[in-house]
Amino acid sequence: MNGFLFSSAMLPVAETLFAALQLPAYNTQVVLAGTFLLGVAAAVTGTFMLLRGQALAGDVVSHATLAGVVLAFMVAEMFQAGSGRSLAVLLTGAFLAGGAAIGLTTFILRTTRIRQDAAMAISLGVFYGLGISLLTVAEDFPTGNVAGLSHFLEGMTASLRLSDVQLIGSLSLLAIVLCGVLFKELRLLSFDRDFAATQGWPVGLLDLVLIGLIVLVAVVGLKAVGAVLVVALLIIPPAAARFWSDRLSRMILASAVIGGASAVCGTVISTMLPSLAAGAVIVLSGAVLFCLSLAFGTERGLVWQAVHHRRTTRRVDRQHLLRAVYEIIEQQPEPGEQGSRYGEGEKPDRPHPEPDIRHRPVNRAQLQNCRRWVPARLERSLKQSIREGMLEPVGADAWQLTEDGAVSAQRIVRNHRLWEMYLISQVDIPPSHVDRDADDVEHFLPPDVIESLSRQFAASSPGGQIPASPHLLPPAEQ
Amino acid sequence: MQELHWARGDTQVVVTAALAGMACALPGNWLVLRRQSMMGDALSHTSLLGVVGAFLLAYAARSAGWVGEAAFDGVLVLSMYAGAIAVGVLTAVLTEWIRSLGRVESSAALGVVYTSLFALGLLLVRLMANDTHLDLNCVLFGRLETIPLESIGQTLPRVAWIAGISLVINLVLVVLLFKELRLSAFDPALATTVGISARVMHYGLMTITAGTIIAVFESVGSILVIAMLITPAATASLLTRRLGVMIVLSLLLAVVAAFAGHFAALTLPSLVMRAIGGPEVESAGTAGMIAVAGGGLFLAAVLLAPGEGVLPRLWDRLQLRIRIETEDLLGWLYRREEAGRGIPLSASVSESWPDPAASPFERLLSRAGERRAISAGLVQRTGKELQLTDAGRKTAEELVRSHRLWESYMAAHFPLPEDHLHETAARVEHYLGPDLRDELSQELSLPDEDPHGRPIPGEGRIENRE
Repeated sequence: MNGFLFSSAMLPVAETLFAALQLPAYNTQVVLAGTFLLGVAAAVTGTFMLLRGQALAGDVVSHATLAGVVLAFMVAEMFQAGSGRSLAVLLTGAFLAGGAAIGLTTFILRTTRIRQDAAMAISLGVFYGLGISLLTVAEDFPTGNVAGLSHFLEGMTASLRLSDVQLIGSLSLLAIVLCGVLFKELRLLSFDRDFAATQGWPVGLLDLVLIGLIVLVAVVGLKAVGAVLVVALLIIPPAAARFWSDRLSRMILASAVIGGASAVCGTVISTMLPSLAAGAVIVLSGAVLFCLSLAFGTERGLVWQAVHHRRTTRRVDRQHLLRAVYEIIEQQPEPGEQGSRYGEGEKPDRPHPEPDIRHRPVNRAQLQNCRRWVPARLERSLKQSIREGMLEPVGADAWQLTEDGAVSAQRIVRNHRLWEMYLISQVDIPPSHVDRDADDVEHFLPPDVIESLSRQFAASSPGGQIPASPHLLPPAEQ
Repeated sequence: MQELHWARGDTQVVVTAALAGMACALPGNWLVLRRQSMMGDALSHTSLLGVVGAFLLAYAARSAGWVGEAAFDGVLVLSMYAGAIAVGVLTAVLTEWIRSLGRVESSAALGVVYTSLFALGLLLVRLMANDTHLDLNCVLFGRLETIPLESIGQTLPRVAWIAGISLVINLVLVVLLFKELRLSAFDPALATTVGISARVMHYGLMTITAGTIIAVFESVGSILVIAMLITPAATASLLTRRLGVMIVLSLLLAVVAAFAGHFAALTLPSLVMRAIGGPEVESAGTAGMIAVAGGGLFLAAVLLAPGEGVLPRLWDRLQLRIRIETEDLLGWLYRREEAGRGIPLSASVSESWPDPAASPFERLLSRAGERRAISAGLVQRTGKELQLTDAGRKTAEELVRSHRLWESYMAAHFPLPEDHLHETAARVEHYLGPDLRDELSQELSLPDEDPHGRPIPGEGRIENRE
């Protein structure tokens, strides 16, 4: 056993490349086809398992298969020396052991109050321990060479023969076809098992089918990528697909693409560099694709989330800017009027005519004072508002509203004040605190809410007028 | 049977395994309680990357001349621990991150993280295999068996010392932090409000688990650690509901599993092979058999745990069935007496008891019920006839009273046809005590007859029966 790690000592790089180039293309293609199908099958079945919250069931199965493989080897060798190396025999043993491990997990869950995580850990540990013990026993067998059995942990993609690939490929295809045929049933099972049961679906049988599929894929993957790593094929692509879509059909598609792609990448890379175990490279390719999905996935990828967040923040900033302009103008005396509209500490209590807000420039100092902007942020909002045609510069450091800007500003201020009044009257927020509370929501009020609010506060804003601010506005320094 | 040679080396193996098992069981208890058992599995896999990464860095540091030859071994060991702990915490952090970003279950996030890190570890092992002395087989499978060879002339082998030190560290931490660990395991929300940071506890536990795994992986193998972490703790949790007792039990179970595992490894393979006529084999791997022995202990607990084991529960149900049979016999004999009052009964009891239509198992239960009734002095057997004793008649009266009161209650409160009352009453009569009977009777304003017009016997007043 000690030999298997060092047996394939690294060849010098030149020789390696040479060997890779000399590799018959046909053989590479065959292996590629096998791992590709395996990758897709694992990705598709894994998606259902992920949604059922049993992603780690594959972990239990794959560890348990070692016991099955060794046991099958021993039984076969006892009946007929030399027959223990047949892939079909070993996979049958692995299948039975994987099923037994899931059976043990289910038994523990049904009969005790041990919870799922511990039940899985126990049956994983017991079966894996059994497998390792049996492996040491099998070493003493007079017939047959046991050394290859431990390769099941790491996989031996490069040494796959055509017959192996045919078996792996056809079983993977079987799993894919079964998932396709039972798509509707498995979907129902994954999302609402109880509902499926009340609708009369044979959920127990479907559970069994899904478990059977997982065990099948895990077992098929043994020889190709190894027992410990096949679980990655079951989990990584579906988890990556979560970042691309919330719809099951698209998620399965994304998962299959990622699974197939990582299988192909891994196989090709390890063909070129035989010192890298194919199983590990396939899994790492999957991990890279996972990271890419996490970053760029359209559903909740980090980059899109950041872009969306930035867009929203800037839109909110611009709305605040327009409101600030409006409120500064509002507090200035109308042209021809003397003094401020409101006396010191006086609270406006009557609807007032809207100020003529166009052609009333405001300057940077006024804006800066109105909301304690970060200067750069104010600058950016100003620039964007000018580009959007909401503001226009007047002189060096002053701006006035355009026609569009005036309309927007009135709408924004109106929404803000309606929501403030709602908070004051319904949520009992004191007027002195309401300004910033309203800030959180006002930008996201849908039209029908605005409609109902303006009906509710019709007295304060007759004819769709902008209501007076229910609180003191920050004084705008001239 | 082959003669068992228990040598000093075997004692060393068992002591090492027991120390390792106990060291693992301590953090295992908390993993089980916090439902993070599979975290143990993940950490045992990713520790490979930590060890390999540490090896790589240490060898790189030596070849760069930063570390002298003299200090190299110490640096290697230290960096191994640091590496495994760092990767362990990294696993936990990444899992939490992916879980919240991808809105997947934490088990799925865990699966993504640990398989990727394990694959990376495997690749690195491959790449560095020529430069360093890291034996992948040792990391994955452990080498308990080779202990005697390595520790000739020592009382305790080196790996036993390491496992022992790890055990002491874990023990001290558990004793010192018992209150905090307990609170954050059972009520994380309360723990947070009284100032115990859930995050610190979580990552602290991960650190301890990773450290323990590294301390014992050399002897038991990194993946088998999962069996040593979880199985004793889960077994103990079946046997008690008190946390302190559970922890002590898990330590004991770890020791038992270590001994039983090694013993089974020595004896079981040749026994089984001889029994089925297989080829001659030597012992099995001890580390693996310890995991299997732990599983055996767990299975025994599942079957036998007092109160909640499968067999005790079956036994309780059987006892209940027999009690019900006894009571049914009493009720049946009472109704027979009631019906035959004044007129001699033509048919003998034995013709309709046990019910000839019942299945053989049910007839067996009926017989058991009968025996119990006789031995309790409730029923007398004369020849083939069964007859109530005075004590039996009193019990039977209570039963029939329960039955008929319940029928009356059902009839008064539910619009059920008369022929639907009997079934539920026949079931409920076995569970009604005197208090409930009085309450029912009060509620129905002391009825004399049930809905079928039969008299309801009084409460324990035999003399009033005539």
